[in-house]
Amino acid sequence: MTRVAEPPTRRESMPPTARRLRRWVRRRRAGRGPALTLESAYVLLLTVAITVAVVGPRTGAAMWPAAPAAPPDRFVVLVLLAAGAAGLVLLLRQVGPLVLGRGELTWLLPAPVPRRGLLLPALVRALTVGALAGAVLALAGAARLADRPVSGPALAGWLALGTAAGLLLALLAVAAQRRPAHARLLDAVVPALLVALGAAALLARVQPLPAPPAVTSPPFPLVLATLTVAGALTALAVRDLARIPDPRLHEPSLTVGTYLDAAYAVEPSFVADLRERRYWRRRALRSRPLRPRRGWLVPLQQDLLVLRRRGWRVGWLFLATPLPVLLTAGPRWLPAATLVVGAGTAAGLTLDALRRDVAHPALLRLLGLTGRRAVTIRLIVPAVLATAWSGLAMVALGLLGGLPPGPWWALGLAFGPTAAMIAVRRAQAGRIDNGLPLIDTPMGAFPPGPMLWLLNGTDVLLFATPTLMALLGPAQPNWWWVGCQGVLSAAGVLAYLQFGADRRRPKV
Amino acid sequence: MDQAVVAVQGLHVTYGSVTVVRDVGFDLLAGGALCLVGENGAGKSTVLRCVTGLAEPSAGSVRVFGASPDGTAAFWRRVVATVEQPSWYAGLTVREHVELVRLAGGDDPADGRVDELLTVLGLHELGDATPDRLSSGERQRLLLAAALARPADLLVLDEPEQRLDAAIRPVVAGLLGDHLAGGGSLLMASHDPVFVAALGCPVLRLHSGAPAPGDPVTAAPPPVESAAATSSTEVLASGAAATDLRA
Repeated sequence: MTRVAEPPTRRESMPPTARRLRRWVRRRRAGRGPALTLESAYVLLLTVAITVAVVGPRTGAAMWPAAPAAPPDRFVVLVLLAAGAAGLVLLLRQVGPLVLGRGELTWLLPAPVPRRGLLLPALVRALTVGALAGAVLALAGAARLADRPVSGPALAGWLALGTAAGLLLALLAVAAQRRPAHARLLDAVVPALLVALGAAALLARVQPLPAPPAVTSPPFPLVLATLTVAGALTALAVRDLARIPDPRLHEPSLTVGTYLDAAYAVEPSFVADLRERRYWRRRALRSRPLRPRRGWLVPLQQDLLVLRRRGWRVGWLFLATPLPVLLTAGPRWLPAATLVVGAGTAAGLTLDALRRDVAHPALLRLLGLTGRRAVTIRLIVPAVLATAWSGLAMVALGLLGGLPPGPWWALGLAFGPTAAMIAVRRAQAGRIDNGLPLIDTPMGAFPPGPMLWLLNGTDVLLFATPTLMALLGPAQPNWWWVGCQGVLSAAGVLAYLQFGADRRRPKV
Repeated sequence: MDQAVVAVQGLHVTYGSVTVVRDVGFDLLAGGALCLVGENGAGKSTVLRCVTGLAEPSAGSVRVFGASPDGTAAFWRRVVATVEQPSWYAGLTVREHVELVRLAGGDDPADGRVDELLTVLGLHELGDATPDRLSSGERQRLLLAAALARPADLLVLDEPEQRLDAAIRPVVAGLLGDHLAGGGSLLMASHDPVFVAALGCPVLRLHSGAPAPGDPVTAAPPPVESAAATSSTEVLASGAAATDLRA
């Protein structure tokens, strides 16, 4: 074999561009077979076609109603638009927004490749998401705030303004990714803004606020100025791409990689596990002594400790209790669904331990606890949290939700344990079972595992019949309804503990 | 004759067309110790998993405390095993994990045992860290601390020395020696002859899933520190495959 001697450094040579390296990788991959098979393309096209056919007309009608919103509702529209913009920033912050694929992160980031070329596609992706979301928000806003008829140039003006605003929001997220101080500020301000907007929307229900006047088209100088600023800041962002430190790219790239893994493997537990680990890795903990006299309640002490350490997350969750009442303007099922999801989310705050016991019962064996005892004790904190959440949410619904008079708060309290049971069932669901036989349909075979995983826990809703009927009716509940709900909740929990948990082995 | 804590006879385990354990048998009496040794894939971990009921034998019998290892909570209160890496609880520190196990075993977590374990295993400074932040060797120390934090009639340890540095291995051997001196039994697998020698327990060598021919059962020389615990160990070999170990 001929040995090639070369100097350890070759400073004079030009490093290859990221574009050239990407092209090289693409060619090698293409040589091994197409990335998208005919079957995959068929499934993809069919999915898109069915989705468009099913939800397209309805979405179109919802996006562009025949008349603008009534004057009293215009303020709420503005609040919702602002909440949408804040949500966009939060979403972009969650995913990076500048991320590289795992391969590029491993092989190209540490290589002597010009950084600007390497990160430019990521920036384009982030800006495209921002621009598209901004355009959609602008369209939704124009549809509810602009006088009819809306001319073509006026609509173009709205879309241009929305696109430019979306670009600015995406650039804000990019800037926060580069500078941790900006990120901390943004991560504190945006959720606070969302809470303030929610409070304002709630206030608008109690006290009518001044309605903004209807508009026809956005002022041209405003559109031009926003576009100009967005363009200039984009140019600056492209220039600064070379200065983004590697650590700011690693974590979001790995997070998005896990999201993609979860989507590819249809395994949402990857994401839950990653988020949980990240959350605790950022926390500085101090050990607290466990109390020996309550030894038989060991898991309860553990749950209380974790709950105490959740801190602000508990606060945010309880600030969200007015969410069902804010959504009473929508379809009738929306507040009911929000109540179930919200109370279930509150119950899930301490259920990560149960998820881990399901995945790897080694610690449960070390603790020597039966599955039934573990589930019984681990149900206590979720039941209290879900009961408090649903009770508060129903107080708001009863007062401001336009529902018939009745003991709604008591119904919410009685519903709580059922919501906790749903959360426990979902925590026990574990990973998706992809080993189930495929189900043949006229449009092709599909694996039932993901569907069954999604439906896990929904059967428990049977025990929430009085609450759901009262909300969906809406019916006027009395104390008899409350009693029924209480009995059903108790019966459901007891039956579940009797039959749904192993009473001899450390297995949940 | 005392009743065996672990009695294994004619154990076979087959996965598909591959037999990973063939005709393994031994008796481990109360207070005794046995170490399974052998190359990678020799079947050591599978034997331990069968003893703890985490794997099903294809043939043969496994009795632990006179009954099949049924995996009930009552069984796990007498047996502590580290045959698999646990998934540590999120939001709990290293110290709290060890305290949790001590408390679940019915003891006072503040009685000094947890402090002692964390100190001798070099985890005292890491008490407020979460297990996710530990190195693999530190996580192994934590696993051993948790395993030794509560009383157990039988310890089943799969390569307790793995990923540990040379300085801590004699400490772990000493802790296991203390367990034996206290009347507990120990069944383990190991790749480290020095560690096994330090423990001074008899050895059953496996080769391709079976007891090694011509090397039926050997007893490692007793260590200086734990000689009292194991010096009276007598090894009774029954044929090539069976051992009867008494403390």
